Amino acid sequence: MSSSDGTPWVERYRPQTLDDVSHQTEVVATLKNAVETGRLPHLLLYGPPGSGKTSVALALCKDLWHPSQWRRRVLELNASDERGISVVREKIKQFASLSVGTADDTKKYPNPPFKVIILDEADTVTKDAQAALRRIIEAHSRITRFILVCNYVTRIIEPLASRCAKFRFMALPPATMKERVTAIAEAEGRKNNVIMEESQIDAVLAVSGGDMRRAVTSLQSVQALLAGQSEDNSKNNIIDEAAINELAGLPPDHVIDTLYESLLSNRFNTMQSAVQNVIADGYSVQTLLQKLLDKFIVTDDLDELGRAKLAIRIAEAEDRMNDGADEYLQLMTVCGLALKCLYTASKKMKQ
Amino acid sequence: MWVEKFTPKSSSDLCVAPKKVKEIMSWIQGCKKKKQKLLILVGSPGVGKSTTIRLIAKELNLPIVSWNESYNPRGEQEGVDSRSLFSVEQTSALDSFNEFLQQSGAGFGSLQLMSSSPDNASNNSNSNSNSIILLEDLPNLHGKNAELRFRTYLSNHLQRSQLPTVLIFSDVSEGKHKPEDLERLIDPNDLYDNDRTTIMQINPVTKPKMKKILSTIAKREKYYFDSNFLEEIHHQSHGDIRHAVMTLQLHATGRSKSDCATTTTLHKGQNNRDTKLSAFHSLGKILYAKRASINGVDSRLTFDPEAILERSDLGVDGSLRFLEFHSPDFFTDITELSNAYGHFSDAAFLLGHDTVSGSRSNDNGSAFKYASSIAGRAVANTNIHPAPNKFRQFSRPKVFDVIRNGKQNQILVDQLSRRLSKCHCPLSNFVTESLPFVRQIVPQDVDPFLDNLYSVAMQRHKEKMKVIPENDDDLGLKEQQALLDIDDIAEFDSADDLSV
Amino acid sequence: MLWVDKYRPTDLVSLDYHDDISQRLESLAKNPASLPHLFFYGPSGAGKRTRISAFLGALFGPSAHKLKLNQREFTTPTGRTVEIHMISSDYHIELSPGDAGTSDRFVIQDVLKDIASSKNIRSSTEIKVVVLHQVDRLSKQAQAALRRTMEKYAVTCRLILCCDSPSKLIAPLRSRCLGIRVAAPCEDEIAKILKTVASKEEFGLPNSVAIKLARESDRNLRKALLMLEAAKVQAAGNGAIPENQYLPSADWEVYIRQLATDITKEQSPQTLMAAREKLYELLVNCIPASTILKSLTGELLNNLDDSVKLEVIEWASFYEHRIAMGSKDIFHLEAFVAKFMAIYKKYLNDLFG
Repeated sequence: MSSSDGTPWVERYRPQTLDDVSHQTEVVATLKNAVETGRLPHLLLYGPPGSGKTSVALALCKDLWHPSQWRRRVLELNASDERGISVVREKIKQFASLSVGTADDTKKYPNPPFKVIILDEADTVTKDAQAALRRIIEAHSRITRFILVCNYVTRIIEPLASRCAKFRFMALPPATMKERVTAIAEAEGRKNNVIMEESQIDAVLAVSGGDMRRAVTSLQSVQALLAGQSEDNSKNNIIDEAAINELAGLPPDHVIDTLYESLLSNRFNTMQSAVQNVIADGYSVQTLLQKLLDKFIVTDDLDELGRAKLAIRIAEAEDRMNDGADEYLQLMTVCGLALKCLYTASKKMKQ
Repeated sequence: MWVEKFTPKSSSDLCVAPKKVKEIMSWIQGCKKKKQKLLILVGSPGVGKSTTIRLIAKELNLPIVSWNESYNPRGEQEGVDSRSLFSVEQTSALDSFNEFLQQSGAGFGSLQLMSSSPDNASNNSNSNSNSIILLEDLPNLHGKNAELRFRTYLSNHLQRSQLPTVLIFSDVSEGKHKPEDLERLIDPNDLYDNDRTTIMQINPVTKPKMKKILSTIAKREKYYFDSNFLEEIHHQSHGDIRHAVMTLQLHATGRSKSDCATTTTLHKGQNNRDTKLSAFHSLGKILYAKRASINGVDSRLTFDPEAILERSDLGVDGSLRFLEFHSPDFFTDITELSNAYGHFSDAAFLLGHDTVSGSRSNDNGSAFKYASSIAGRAVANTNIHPAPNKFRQFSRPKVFDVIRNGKQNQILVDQLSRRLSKCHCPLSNFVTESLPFVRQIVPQDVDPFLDNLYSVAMQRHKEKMKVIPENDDDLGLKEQQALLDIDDIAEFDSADDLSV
Repeated sequence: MLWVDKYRPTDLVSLDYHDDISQRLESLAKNPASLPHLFFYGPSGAGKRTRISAFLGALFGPSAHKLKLNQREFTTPTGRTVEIHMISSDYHIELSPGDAGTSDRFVIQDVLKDIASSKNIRSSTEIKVVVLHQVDRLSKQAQAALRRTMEKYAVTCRLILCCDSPSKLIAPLRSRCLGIRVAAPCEDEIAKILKTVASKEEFGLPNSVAIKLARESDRNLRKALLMLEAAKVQAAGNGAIPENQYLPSADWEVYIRQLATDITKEQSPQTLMAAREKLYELLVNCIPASTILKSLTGELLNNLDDSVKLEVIEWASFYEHRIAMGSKDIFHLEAFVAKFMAIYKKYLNDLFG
């Protein structure tokens, strides 16, 4: 079995050089310039998940040094791994003191005279630790460059952010993703004897929402399923779009439609039993709410005020669920309000 | 020392209420017939519990056998002091305590040893049938094991003993150990068995009584203190006569006689004795929420809620529980009460928030401060139509028992769920989905396991707690207050993150 | 043995419903090397655990069902020790890391590190599986740590996560797993299963009773089976359960129903004090505060006019959130009860002037 080494595809198909990186042309251009001149500021890479931040950081390092140098030159830290700032400080100190040594093959690489510390998930670091980090950066800035990677730039304290060159990553557009995902699908499909149809790849892309990691992970799952079936020789290929949605945890459209219908009924009990049903069916309320919001925004059944009210309530519900609140009650609250807003709007329209 | 010099010489001199003295006396006289075995005198230190017993025993001509830590079962009367050093090493305090109980309970052996009877001759002739075992100086109990052993010893003793036993329970006994719950000392089966056990409450000395005693002493010693000063002493002593007399003496020495001591000197002087009584008292202020009236219009609060909460012995957390627990009684309107509860929920939320977010250093506990401001004013701001002013009993919030029992039950249920099913599902699901039905299916497997569940436990509790008939509001209040155990609050403070 | 356990299917083929899921699991089991991490979610009593265990059987063969129950102690860096119950076979290990409370992070890291570094007893090429139950109880930090850990050990071990509410799992974790939604069986499916069990136990179960049980169970198969067994005990004898059989109900639900009636009948501070006693009783019986609030809200909604339902549900979700946020559940429960009474009183006043 060729795929027997369990490396997740996400790791296997990471871009190896900056040139390989999809889409983020602006960032890549600037960084390539930095590579050529060997002058690198501290970096702050931010953007939605799966847009290639960590990949860019790693690719950058691969472009800068010969592989034999990486161990001494690059330190990858995960904020969620080692949260204690004292641990981080100790690690950085140790790493900074490592001697650089001479490179075997300096010709092909810029080989700049500094080291790089990549701090992933920097936004999960507490404010206090960030303040401490700022001093650490200053203390070591002569020989080290920091690359902070995070999803939300607003969670990085200003003094820290201002020391870095900020790069914003965009969610990948479907076209770019498709090219890449198709390539991976073909490469892996050849090994596993699986042929994926274009519609399946499209479905995978649709559920990924511009998140490359998610797309590749879903792809891997789908192929694992397909591989199991092809050995069966039974030709009941049931991995259609609906199934892929299901695997990604997205509720099918008819579920949303049924729920929405119940909201138009202006009957609390109808709404309540519809909500009870989707909960018993185990759909993730978070995704349900997102889908509902999509509907509320475009529908003509609502007036602007109702739209606004519902958007606020949905945001609130999501926040509460983040804190661990009960899904059923939150969904009921949103739907209860929707029931009322839809009724008010329909009465107004009749007048 | 004045405390010794002016110690009461007869039961009529006692500052304990005469009614109480009579009750105790009749218990001791009647215990043989009624098969009463154990009298527990509960009260804060220095209100005269031991003195009362000793005086009564003296008047009834009953010898007292008492245990103290240097008790040596093998020691002879004259050798006690010199040997006590060794004996402590040889046997642990608990062992010697047990030995003491066994010997004294059987009515022979070392009775002469600690006998405080004035008359040794009568003692010798009578001791086998008539003496009182007095337990005032309990051995140090560190850890669960020691507590358990103590409970067993005592329980065995009560089974066997022919003699009445009097246990003195003060929250703080000579600074030796921290307050202990009665239940932890005494097996609840014994404690609430009203055939054998009686619990009596000795209340702090009342203001007029204390003032009278203090001024008598002052007069005898030829000092003069004004009435305000004595009142202040009473306030600070919280009814502890021993403390009060010592304070008096302290202020008398170093000053020329008949000087007039003013209240201010006292304020600057001694450390205020903070007891639980003051905690309840001051929190009560928040609930009564009195406002100063200017020109017949109520305006400012007569107290500073933040200060009260900050100073409260219960801590903000405990105070919050206290306020929440007692507030419904002060309201007449459910809407106003619901607003107050909204505030309490806010405060609890902020308090939890403060401890949850790890960055305490940056926050400076501001959430904590907001919580206490909100909680401190919740009642005052919402209670527009308060219930008429009347006397109310304050007690320890019941929720602590709820939490404790809940935790015990959780452990039991957890064990049960593992026993019943290999595929153990989440505990909360087991309790809500499986247990009610499993109970109906295999009651023989479930019920013995869960005899601690609330409804059952409460029923038993109720039956036994009927013991203490208290018609006097004031007595009941102070009794409950004295039973408050701050340790409980501290314990649950830290363990709060676990459910409930 | 309880019927719930006695008639629990042990392989994928004999699972009673959700054939599509069974098929998918079967495909996955054929190719263990390319197995992704899995995330089972769905309401309680829908059959998540049953499916996981059947899947493990398909993956590793019958010896995956030879389970050992053991306890393990973990020592956190701060020196605290926590005891965790684990179930393990030669191939996999199951635990609820949420039991470790605030130390959940260390438990997860320890277990994964251990299992990833130890060789599989039977064969060195195969992967190992760690099943984590109730991952929704994990702290956010632990979830973040899990995200890294699962990448780190992805080569040798696979995770199966399992929980009731997927929204309580952070998005990065969800997106790293193949999601398997186990919906609660519908009432017909439950009724069918009840009938099957009854026939295996050789007693008659009228259709009407089966349907009634299915409806009462809130689409929870475990509950339905337990109710059936309890009903059988009540009915006594070896014969059939009579049509008019009184259906067993959970004592705490009855209790909450009573509480709901109380506070709808009268609204005053005194009623609140009485309600408080009931709440205490429920808490002492280990009913989770959030379940109390949810169930109480359900009962209240049943007796209310539509015009006030929204307000009640809004406050319910507000206070449930508070409960989820931290300690002092009783504060929020009582606040909700008081709020409800205030709302209801106002409604009555408006109605009757």
